[in-house]
Parts: sequence; structure tokens; C-alpha cells
Amino acid sequence: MLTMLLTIGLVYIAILFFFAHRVRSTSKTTKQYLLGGADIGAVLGFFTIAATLFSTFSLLGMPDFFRIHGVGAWIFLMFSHCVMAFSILWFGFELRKKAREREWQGMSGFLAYNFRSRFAGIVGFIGVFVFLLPYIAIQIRGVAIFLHATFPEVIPMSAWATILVLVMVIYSEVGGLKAIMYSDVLQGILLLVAIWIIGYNCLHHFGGIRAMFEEVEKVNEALLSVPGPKGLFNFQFLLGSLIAILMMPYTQPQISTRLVILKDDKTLRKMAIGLGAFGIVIILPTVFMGMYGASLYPDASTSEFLHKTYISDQTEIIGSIVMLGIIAAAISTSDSQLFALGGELRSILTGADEKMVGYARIGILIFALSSLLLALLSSDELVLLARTSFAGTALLAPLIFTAIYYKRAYALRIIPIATLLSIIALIFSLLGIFPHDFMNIRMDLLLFLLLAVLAVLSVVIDTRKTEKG
Amino acid sequence: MDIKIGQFNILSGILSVLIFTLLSCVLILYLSDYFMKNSQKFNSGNKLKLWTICRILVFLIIIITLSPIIIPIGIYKPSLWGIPYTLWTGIVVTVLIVLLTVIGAKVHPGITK
Repeated sequence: MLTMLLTIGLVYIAILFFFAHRVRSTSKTTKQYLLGGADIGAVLGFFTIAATLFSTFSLLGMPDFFRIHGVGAWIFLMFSHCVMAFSILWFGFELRKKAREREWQGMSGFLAYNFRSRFAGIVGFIGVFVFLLPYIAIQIRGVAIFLHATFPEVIPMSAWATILVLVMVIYSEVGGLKAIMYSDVLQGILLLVAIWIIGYNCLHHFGGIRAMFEEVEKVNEALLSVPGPKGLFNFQFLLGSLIAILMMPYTQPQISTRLVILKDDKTLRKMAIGLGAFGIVIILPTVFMGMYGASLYPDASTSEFLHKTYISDQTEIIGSIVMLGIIAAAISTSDSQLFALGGELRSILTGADEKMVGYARIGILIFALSSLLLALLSSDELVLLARTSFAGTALLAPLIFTAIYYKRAYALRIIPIATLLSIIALIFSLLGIFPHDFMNIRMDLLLFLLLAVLAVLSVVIDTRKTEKG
Repeated sequence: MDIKIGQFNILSGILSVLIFTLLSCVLILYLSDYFMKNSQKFNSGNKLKLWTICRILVFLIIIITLSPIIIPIGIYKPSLWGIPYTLWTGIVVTVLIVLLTVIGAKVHPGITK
């Protein structure tokens, strides 16, 4: 199996580097290197956003989530995702319209410009840095533990993680954003193929959908309804998740940048439709995998379940394709996020463009090393850690939406300050210094609501003041 | 809110009506889009109205989905082809949102070129 994986893996890496070499730009400007020429068509735009969204989180996290917490996982992710796709038509259009006022470099730069305050840009950067880095780390960790579980004798988990980070850093540093986008297309196709082969096999094991759920009912009927056996999917969790996922295209720079650099609004429209439909196609087979695990491996650990479902119970060739799909998904999403962090850093720097891009490239390297370090230290709860990342970056939403919708955003200096304080409060809550909830309201939801109310009130008061003046 | 099995028949009735209404709205929207396009009456005012309807429908679907209508605690029947209640209704509302995205993309007043 290792020989087969190495062979397919080397072919994949060779294709990646071929893309990187083909699209490599000699001009290392922000537009060419960090924004891929800022003229992305519908197909490339759709695949790159879909691949950035659907990653190891979908392939490794969601089946395990269905297995442990049951069918409510569909509402948690898939429903929220489709609402998000709809919202792209609405807010994505407004973001693009506003972004056209000035050359786009990144969300932090956009905030700094609209609030006429470098501090606002820095708050934006801190928000994505603090909450995106752990997300990158858990993806690297997710794949590394999976590879280590499959080949325990070959190299330690930390070595797998290091190899992954090395490949993505070299590849993205050479080719820039355009190369990453081409790898996203490849990853999207691989992910779709891998997830459906396994999904079909899992369903085939039961002989049909009805038989599958009957089997799960015998094992643990709490999996078939909300809130699930562990009580996770309560109203607050689902509402908080919906808000966090809904805000992702605006608060996660790897997605907002892709929305802005699409060729035109018509491309945005096609991409939004494709994204919603693609999500259903990708997540549906993870239900079958989760139910398969719930029936056959209810008490197994995450890595045991994944290893058995993806590898042991499959033929060698399918196991290898799936493994490559998982590696590709992790590389594709993580390098997009690392690159976005580099772009965000660039957008708050001022100076000669090529020199600043150079600093951003050094930044990408440092972010990659930091995420590797975090990957070796973080826990195995893939989906919950990812959700924390979504909820954390969602705190930036009131700040971003004020910049998009309110012309006099620069008069509302309190919002960047309040956002920074909320980020600190959420970190303290996650570390256990502050409580996880207040008056039975989850801390992430409460902070988001407070910021949203503050933003609305600030806008109303400022509008009245301006009218009187 | 916990819902007992006895109460659930009423809820499933309400649900059926709501889903039927939503589907009808979607169909009407789609047909109106088709006819308006063909009769060249698809001006920006009509687009704005249809776009507003789309947004209201999405908002309604969100409320329905996060209410006990779609996520009743501890209940997984009535099932559809063996699929538990929350999952199949969840799939239905998800598909509805995708349909509204398709319609929304067509009627969005700002997206022209």
C-alpha cells in the first residue's frame, strides 16, 4: 500500500509543481502574485472556493461528526453552507462593489482604508491570524495522524506533518495564488471521486438507505434525531454555527479575496449556485460513512474509525486514492489559508509593492512554521476546533459589514476597539479564564450579538448626528 | 422545547403546508421569472421585488429550520424511505435554499453584466 501511495502521491506532487511552474509569474507584484492576476473565471473561481471550503474538515471531520453526534450534523454544516452560498449573492455583491473603490489587497487593508485607521486593519489581521492559524494546524494534524495510523512503522506523526508543510510552502511560494487555484481544481475533483467511492461502499455494505438507518437505530437511536447522543446540536449551537458559517466569505480572507478577484458579477452568480449544489454532493456521502461508523465502529477512536473505514475496509487502490484525496484536501485548504494570511499582512504594510510582497512571502514562511508547531500540540477534535475558528473570525463581521455598508465608517472608531476586546474575551473564554457561557448564552454567540448591536447603534447615532449637523 | 409524539401530527401537518407553500412560492418565482423575461417586462423594479421575496423566503426557511418543526428534540419519525425526520426535512430545506439561490441569481437587481 505504501508503494502505491508513494507512486500516486509523487505523480500528484509532480502535477502540482508542473502547474506552479506553468503559471509562475516573474512579476512579484500584489496583483500578480498574491491575487492571481485578479481576473478569475467561473470554473476556476467555483473550484477554488469550493476546495478552500471543503477540506479535511469535510473528508475526515464530518463522517466522524455524523458517527458521534448523529444526523443533526446536516443542519449544522450543510444547511448553514447553503444559506452562506445564497448570502454570497447578497453581501458578496456589495463587498465587490465597495472593494472596487480602491485596489483590493486584502480585508485588513480594506478595513484600514474604510475606517481611515491602521488600527482597524491591525485588528482585522489579529482576528484572522489568531483564529485561522489553529484551523490550518488542525488540518495538518488531521492528515498527519491519519497517515501515522495507516503507516505506524514508517515515520512519526511529526515527520508527516513536516513533509506536508514543506510541500505546501515550496509549492505556493513558487507559483503564487494562481498555482494554488489550479491545485484547488485538482483537489476538488479528487475529493469528489474519493468521497463518493467510500460513501457508495459504505451504503452498499447495508444494502440500502432504509437498512442503514434501521441498523443505526438498533445501535443508538439518539443518533437519528437532535440534539444527538451527547446533546451537542441544541438551538444555540446550531444558530451560532449558522452565523459563523454565514460570515465565512467575509471574515475568512482566503474566501473574501477570491470573491473580490472574480472576473465579474456574473461569475459571482454562477459560483454561488455551484457552491450550494456542490456542497450537497460532497456532504451527502459523509452521512453514509458516519452511519457506517456508528453501526460498525461506535466505540472506536477518531483515527481508528477513519483508518478502518477509509483503508482497512477498502481495496488497496481505493485506499490509496482516498488517502491522496485527503492529503490533497489538506494541502489545498491550508496553503490557501497560509497565503491569505500573507495577503492580509501585505495589505496593512505600506511601501514599495514588490518589497512588501517580499515581506508577505517571509510572513507566509513564518505562519507555516507556526502552524506546524501548533499542529504538533493541538487536540484531535477536528470539527469542533474548526467551528471555533469560524466563530472566532465571525467576530470580525460587524466591523467588516460596517466598512461595506456605512460610508462614514471612519467616524465609528469604537467598533475596531470593541472587536479587539471581544477577540480577547473569546480567547480567554476558550482558555477557561472567562466562563464558556453567560446567562446560558454561549460566549461566541453573545459577543457576536453585542458587537452587532453596537455596530447598528453606532451607525444610527452617527447618522442622526450628521443629519442634525 | 420538547415535543411529544401526540403533538407531532399537528406539527407535521403544519410542516407539510409550509413546505408546500414554499415550494409553490419557488415555482411561482421561477415561472414569473420565465414569463417576465419572455415578455420583456423584467425591469429593475420587478427584479427588486422578486429579489426581496427571495430574501424573505430564505429568512423564513432559516426560522423554520431552527425551530422544532425541523429539529424536534428526540424525534426521528415520520421517516421518508427510512431516512430520519430531521435529515430528510433538512435535505428538503437545503435544496429549497439552493433553488432560491438559482432564482436569486437571476433576479438580483445589481448583477447585470
